[in-house]
Amino acid sequence: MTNQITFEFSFPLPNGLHARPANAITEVVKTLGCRVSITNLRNQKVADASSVLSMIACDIALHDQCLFSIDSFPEQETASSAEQLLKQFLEGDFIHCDDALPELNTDQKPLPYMLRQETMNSLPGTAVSSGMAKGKAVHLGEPELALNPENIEIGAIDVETARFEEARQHLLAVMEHQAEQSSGEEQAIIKAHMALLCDQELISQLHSQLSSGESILNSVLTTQSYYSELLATSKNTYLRERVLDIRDVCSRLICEVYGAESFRTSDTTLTEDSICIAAHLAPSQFLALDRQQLKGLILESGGSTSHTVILARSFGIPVLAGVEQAGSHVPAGTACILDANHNLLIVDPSTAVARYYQLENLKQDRLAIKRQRFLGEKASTQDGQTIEVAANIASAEEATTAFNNGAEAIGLFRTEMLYMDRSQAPFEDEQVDIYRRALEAAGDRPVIIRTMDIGGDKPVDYFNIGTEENPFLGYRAVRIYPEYLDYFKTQLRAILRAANYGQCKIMIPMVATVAEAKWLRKTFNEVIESLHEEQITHNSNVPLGMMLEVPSCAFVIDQLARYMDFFSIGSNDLTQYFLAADRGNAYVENLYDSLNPAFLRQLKHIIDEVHKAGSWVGMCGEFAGDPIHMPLLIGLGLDEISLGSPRIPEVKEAISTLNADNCKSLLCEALTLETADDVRTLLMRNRQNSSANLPILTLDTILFDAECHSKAEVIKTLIDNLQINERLIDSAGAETAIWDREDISPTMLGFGIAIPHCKSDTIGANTISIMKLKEPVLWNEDDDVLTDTVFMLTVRASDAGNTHMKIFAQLARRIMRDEFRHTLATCQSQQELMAYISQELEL
Amino acid sequence: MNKALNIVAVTACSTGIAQTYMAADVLEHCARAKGHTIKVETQGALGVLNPITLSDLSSADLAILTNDVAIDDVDRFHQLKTITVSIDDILTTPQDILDGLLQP
Repeated sequence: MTNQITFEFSFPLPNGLHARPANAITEVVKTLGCRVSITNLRNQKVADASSVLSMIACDIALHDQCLFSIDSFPEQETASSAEQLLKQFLEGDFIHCDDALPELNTDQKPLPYMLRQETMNSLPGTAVSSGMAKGKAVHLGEPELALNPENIEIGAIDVETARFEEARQHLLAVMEHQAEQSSGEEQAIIKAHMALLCDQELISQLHSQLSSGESILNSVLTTQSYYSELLATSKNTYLRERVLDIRDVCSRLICEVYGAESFRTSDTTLTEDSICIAAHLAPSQFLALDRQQLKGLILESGGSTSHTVILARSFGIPVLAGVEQAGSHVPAGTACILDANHNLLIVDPSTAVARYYQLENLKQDRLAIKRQRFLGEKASTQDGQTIEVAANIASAEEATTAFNNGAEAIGLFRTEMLYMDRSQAPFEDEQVDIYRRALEAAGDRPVIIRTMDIGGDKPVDYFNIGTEENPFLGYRAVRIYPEYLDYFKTQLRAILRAANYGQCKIMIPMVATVAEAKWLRKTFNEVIESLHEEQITHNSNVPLGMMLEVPSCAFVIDQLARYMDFFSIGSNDLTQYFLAADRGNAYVENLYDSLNPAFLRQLKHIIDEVHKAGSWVGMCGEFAGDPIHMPLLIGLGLDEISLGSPRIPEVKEAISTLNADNCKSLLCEALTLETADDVRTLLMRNRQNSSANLPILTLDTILFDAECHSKAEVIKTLIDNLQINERLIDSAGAETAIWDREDISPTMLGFGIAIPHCKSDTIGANTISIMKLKEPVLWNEDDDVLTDTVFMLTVRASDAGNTHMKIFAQLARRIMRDEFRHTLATCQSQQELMAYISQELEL
Repeated sequence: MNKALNIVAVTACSTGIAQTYMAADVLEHCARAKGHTIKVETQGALGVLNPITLSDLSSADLAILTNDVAIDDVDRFHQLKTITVSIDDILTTPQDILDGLLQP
């Protein structure tokens, strides 16, 4: 006879009862000294609360009603106190055992119309290397059993059992060590795997297999497939995905017994355009791939700073990271599209989706061709004011890509990556080699090497800096140099030695005081002195500069300039320190805004002060990477801007359309405004006005013999064409405005003509676009009238009543007339069409 | 035998860029082809063009008004026989509308 106490409990965890929370329950149950069972009242499955797998098999989902039964012997008084303890745990700490599945990144750009209309099988991720790619899915590093279960050697039962136990214990010890070395999510997962390895049900299942004379290999494989099938039937996606945990633990057991060669890693020879999918990928594995065929990379793990990601960026290969379970969701050989603009991996795209990307590629190619002239040219405004447009890089490999993208210099070579993911700092010679490679790639173009920005949010093990409550205001960058002086001097020595191979400058991060600047100059001189004494070849004429990212510096620039040869504004940190707003904190990120007029006034002050001191000032940071900001940056009179290299052609193009005097007046106006939104509106208005004077119809806005297969393709093609011709402020918005009008009623006229149109803020220049289609398309799904001629009228919202409006009205009336349409149909070229319409509308 | 009518009309559409003017053109063209007299006021992005005056109203037999968006100053037509049509109908089947005018 036993005492039994029962209570019901509604299951509170969003992902159901999987290994991690189940593990937590077993930990508590162990301390109770009672037998506890759980019945899932939804499906009547019963679990032993001391077995993780038994509980997982119960398939308990969020809000499932569960019956907990606590049994104890009558002589024990423990049952009621056990109930108390268990309830206390379930209602208290238990809820923290698990988090909701990460929600879709809310920062994601809205999808363009063509994609919104399609049902897509897609996985979200985070773009860590930009671009788009199309290819067949190839799985990397997926283990494949190399052993043959049929003819594996089997020892006597007791020998096999002992061998298995030894392997299991050893694996546990290894995992214990790994858990100690890791933290957070990773540690929790390792512990959950350890719990699986200690699970009584799993062990007894394995032992019973072994005692029936099976090999360890077969016992493990049988047990693995038993639990995999059990989990695979779960109604909870998250639990279904735990199959991977079982497989992982079982694979490791097999390797423990039979050696690491038990699994072959898959063949990584790429035979066609491929999108490679891996949990994580070592740089060596990445480099072994054929880059002719490698079009894109999908990583299940997150992180944008791994060496693999940096390599991929340098080769221009788009990468999405943090694509959870990509391996299990995307079968090998499936056609995929990687879209780093929209942070999506699209699996097995429909024809329409594939067409969207084809058109998008076409547009990118046209833009690239149009911007090609900027690659070899220095950035300059219409009236000849120049600003150096440089690139930010994080590895020597990226320098070449940057110059191919039209960089005039390297404005920021971040060096912290050299120190990360390793157990000791890079040696001097190793560093010399890296800096030398970047300098050689640059030729006579300058390269600004920034010394290590380590500490705070960029921890490195061997720099024993503990965790801080507020790392951004803490011990990082220049502040740690006195303590880690050897590392700092080694880096300076390496840069000075490499400096003979190019135009090198050194820049120090996070300087906040003149005292630091003095100390830096003194240390710099000491390093030069020692190199000199040691008679080591070096270049002592290297400019020493600093980042301007701490607001205190703004008021002592005259003094700083005594010790520093140049300055570069780090707009990200300067904004967050200046406005006291952490940009990673969703509650205050609205405050983090570099267009805040106070921030702009500070920039103006800084740049004027630097120039007054006769020095040079650039800007590296996101603020410098957006073409929209160029009028302000030109107006401010910066000497240089440094940005991610993919946007350089676009930024140079934006600069080429500006007039420096206009930029100065625009800046003056911005400085008098009260809010960041006011500044944004000003920039927008300025941009609208700059394109307002384009002629309403040009040869560029007439498309002849267009190959479009649907109405959506027609509209995208026309909108893309306007974007290429700089007639739009916001192309996605313009496309939406056109579709909003179509949704009221399709603009099909009959006579094979459609007239999509909109009046919107997103339009920069009033335009008549004309498209003659090679093959007609269906404009309206409800009838079968075909369209082969499209007039698209895009009108600025603010222009009601002007002369352009009269032209639009005139055109509308003309289209209704037989003779006009007839002549239109007989026009054989863009020129002919242009001439006829110009004459009719008196353009 | 067809009677020649004296028609006034107002066209207006949601964006006021295209169809307001297209419909006006179609009405003018078709009505005149049938021997009617017509004056079409457009209420579009150019504002009110070719406005219908009091004397136009006093001599008119009937009014054609579009119903895609609200028409300004619609009270003017209260004393008149009024036909309300959609712009799409004017653009696609203008003959039907004009033929309908003569039905009792």
